[in-house]
Amino acid sequence: MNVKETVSPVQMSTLFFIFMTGSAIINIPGPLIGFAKNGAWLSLLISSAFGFFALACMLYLHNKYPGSTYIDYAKKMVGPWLTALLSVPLILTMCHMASGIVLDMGLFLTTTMMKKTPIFVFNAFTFTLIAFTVRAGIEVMVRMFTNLILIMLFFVFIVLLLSIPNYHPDYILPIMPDGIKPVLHGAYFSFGFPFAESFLFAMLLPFAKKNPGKKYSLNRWMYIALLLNTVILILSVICVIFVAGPVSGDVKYSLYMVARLIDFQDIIQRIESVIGMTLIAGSYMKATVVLFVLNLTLNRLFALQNDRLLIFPLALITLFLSVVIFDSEIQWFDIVSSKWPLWIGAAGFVPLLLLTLIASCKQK
Amino acid sequence: MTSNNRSGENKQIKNTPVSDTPESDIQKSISQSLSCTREELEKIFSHSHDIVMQPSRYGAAYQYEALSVHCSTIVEEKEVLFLRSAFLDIVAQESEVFHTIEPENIVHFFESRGVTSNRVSIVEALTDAVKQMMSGHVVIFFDMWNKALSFNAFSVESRAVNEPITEPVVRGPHDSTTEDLTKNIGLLRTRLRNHLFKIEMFSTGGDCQTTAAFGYLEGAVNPETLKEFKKRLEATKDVEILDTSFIEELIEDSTYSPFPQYRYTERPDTGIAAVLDGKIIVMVSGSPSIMICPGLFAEFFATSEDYYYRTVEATLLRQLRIIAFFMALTLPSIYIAMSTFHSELIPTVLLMAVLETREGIPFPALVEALLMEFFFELLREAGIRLPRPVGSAVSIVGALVIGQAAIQAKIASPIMIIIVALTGIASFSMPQYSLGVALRVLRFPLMILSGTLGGFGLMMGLLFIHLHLTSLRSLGQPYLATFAPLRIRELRDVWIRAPLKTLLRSPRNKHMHKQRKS
Amino acid sequence: MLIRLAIVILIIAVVLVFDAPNYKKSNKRGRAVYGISITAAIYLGLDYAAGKDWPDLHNVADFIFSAPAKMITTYFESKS
Repeated sequence: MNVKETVSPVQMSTLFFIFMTGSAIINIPGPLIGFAKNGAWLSLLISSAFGFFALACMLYLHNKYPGSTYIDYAKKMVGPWLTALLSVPLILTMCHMASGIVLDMGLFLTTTMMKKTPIFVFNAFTFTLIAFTVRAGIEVMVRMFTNLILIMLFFVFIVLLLSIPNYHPDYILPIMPDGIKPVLHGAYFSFGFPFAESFLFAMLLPFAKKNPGKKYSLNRWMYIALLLNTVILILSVICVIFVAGPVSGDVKYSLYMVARLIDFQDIIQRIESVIGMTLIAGSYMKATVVLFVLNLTLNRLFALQNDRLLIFPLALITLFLSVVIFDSEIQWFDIVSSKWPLWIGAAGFVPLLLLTLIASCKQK
Repeated sequence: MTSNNRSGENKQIKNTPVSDTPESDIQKSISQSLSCTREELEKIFSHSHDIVMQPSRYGAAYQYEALSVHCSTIVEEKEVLFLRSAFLDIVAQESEVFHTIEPENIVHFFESRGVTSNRVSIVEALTDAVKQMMSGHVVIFFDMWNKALSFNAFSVESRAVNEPITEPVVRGPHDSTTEDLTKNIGLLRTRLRNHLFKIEMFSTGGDCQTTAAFGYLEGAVNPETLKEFKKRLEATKDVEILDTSFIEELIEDSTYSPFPQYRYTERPDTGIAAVLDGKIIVMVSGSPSIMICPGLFAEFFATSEDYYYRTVEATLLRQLRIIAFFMALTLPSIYIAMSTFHSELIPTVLLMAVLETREGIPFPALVEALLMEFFFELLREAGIRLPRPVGSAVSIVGALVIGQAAIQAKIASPIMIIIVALTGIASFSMPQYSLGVALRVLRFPLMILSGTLGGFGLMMGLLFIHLHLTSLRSLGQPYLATFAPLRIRELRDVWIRAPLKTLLRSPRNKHMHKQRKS
Repeated sequence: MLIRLAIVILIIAVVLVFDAPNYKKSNKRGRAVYGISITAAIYLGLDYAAGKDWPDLHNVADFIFSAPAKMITTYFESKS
């Protein structure tokens, strides 16, 4: 898990894509349509602009300090104490992120499939798996996730394809019935989840192998990954709108609802469990990356030698956190939709911007 | 095997550079005096009644002595008269008449490597002489000479080359390897008549002193893998090896993984196909199994027959095996999860049928499944050891009586019996037996997980297995090689079996191509 | 409550046993950070076991972010 373990640029961008799309594709469309109604896809366009901007900052900093993670070059630029100060909110954010992702998955399972089991059981199993995956290292993670995301995307496309009989393309109009405000609200929400979370990759970029022949290949692949992610999210949002219109904003897991409505020749029915499995896999992959970055941050911050030491305690912390922060459904939804974008913007996005400014000033 | 005792001793001895304690007693050179040598030999071979020591005398007045020693059980009797043929050679070369042969002639002739009618080698140390005697050589000691002559006369009954027992095919060669290492290497070399096909012999340690060999095709094999393999082979230097699987256990990456990391075959054509693909094959004398390293997950689904059939049939059969793999792993778990937790997923008509048959069963699905699987495993294990006359009776008893009786006693439902039987058949359809065993092992934890947590548990179990497979390595190469670093080009031999025109022309190994080009 | 406490103790014990060789190998700094993490885990675990709502991360978040978040969302939802 030290920086000696490398993955290729394509693998790094695949990981980026998986991270952004993995759980977003199930969780985003519902609340987003709830905020922005028919203009949800516009919200995605707006917030993806922020995503590209964040990516540009990250790649700029990475090219300036090759081989160092975010914490490493922050230490170089502003000194260790300020870095420690900046990283406290970062660490808390990442804990919350990991807990939130697994909690989302646990909530999905208890509300739709297995109502009597306590959430703790699901979260405990998931975090065990996540801890072992993080232990295996980034190279194993990337290889494993590539397989999983291909299967996932395959199923999602099948669901979207089989829903074609249920589409009403006229639901997409009117585009902005209530003006620009709802669209901006949706952009605010989707900025928080998933686009601002891309700053995590500032820690992971040094793992990509430097290809001496092609200097900018990593940059190109990362942009492609982000573009693909945006396209797929917009596609799924549009399909959900086609199926149920603005009403779909009231349903939490919209792709699940879409899958429920598929009734193809009486044989292919009730395939929503496939979407359930996709959600489990996507959340698992994203939470693993978050825990990996969390572990890496602490390792770099304290310059620890044994980089696998903290994995289990961190998994414990996030496990217990995930069952403790959940007071009620409404409170959780409120945290995710209104506080989270601000939180992650302040804790992750702003420091990234600051560092980029300092780096560009230093150059001049 | 008193291996527990042995390991303690070996641990102490391993650190010292001197050879094993017993041998240091006879780490002597052969003495000039034949009587001393004879005394030594009698001490060494005391209580072994199949060692034959034949003294002879030669010279004009029969004044000189010679002693011929061999182990009668491993030597062909008519070959024993080496001394006479040696003398005939000397007569032709050195002296004129038989009875004027002096020891000096013998020494002079053999030390100058004169032309002999039998292959002979000169032995200088008593240890080597004893070793050679135990390997089927006839060793002849001469008075007044501190060396000895050794002639190879090894001959023990071995199996003839027959139809392979575990891998019969309909179309394709029908010969299999036997326990004789030399014969096996001969079968392989006949198929690959290339000087780049290297075969290196090594001898393993312990009390067995078995000869083993490994082969590879220079230019096709990955040099890194070969280096890693040779490094790991050091572990076999002081352990007794009875079968190729001993070597497998000593050099594999992960001892506790249920998945095998090397393949086995009894067929020379499979061995040669593997060598052409850049693999290393290992053979041990006394065992017909050829071990192919490294063994990657994707290759466990291939049989040699795939390449003798045409592409469409071969592709379909391969898909069948992949489906059988998933079935054998997850079918009981899926049934348990669906019937206990997610009954809404089963189509209504089928659900009615299932519910009808499950009526009156006192156990939950998980317990029923575990019970039936356990019976099936017991049957299988018993069936291996039954002598042939009793075997067919037990299969009738097992299949019909127990299955039917269990249903009628309402211990199990017909659906469960079908699922257990299907799973068993699917796990037998794996070309490599060790992979079938892995599936048997993994099925039980998956059943327990899906019985307690339903679909989520099954998914967690599968993800755990996937994680394990992805982090597993075989001789340093990632186990899920064509799937995990996804190489689409190489999938042409995994998902489908591409036509031979595509398969054979494009390089399967970058190394071979690079070398051939230069 | 007791079942939860038992599970929490069991899980923490398993993790400690699992990490014991790693812990022994690491230096002082590593052990300090490990100790802090385990303490945090124990606190949260007891919070879960007790069932009561002890001060937590979301309280911190609420404290810092409630007001600005409220402002932003009302801005978005007004005039709609």
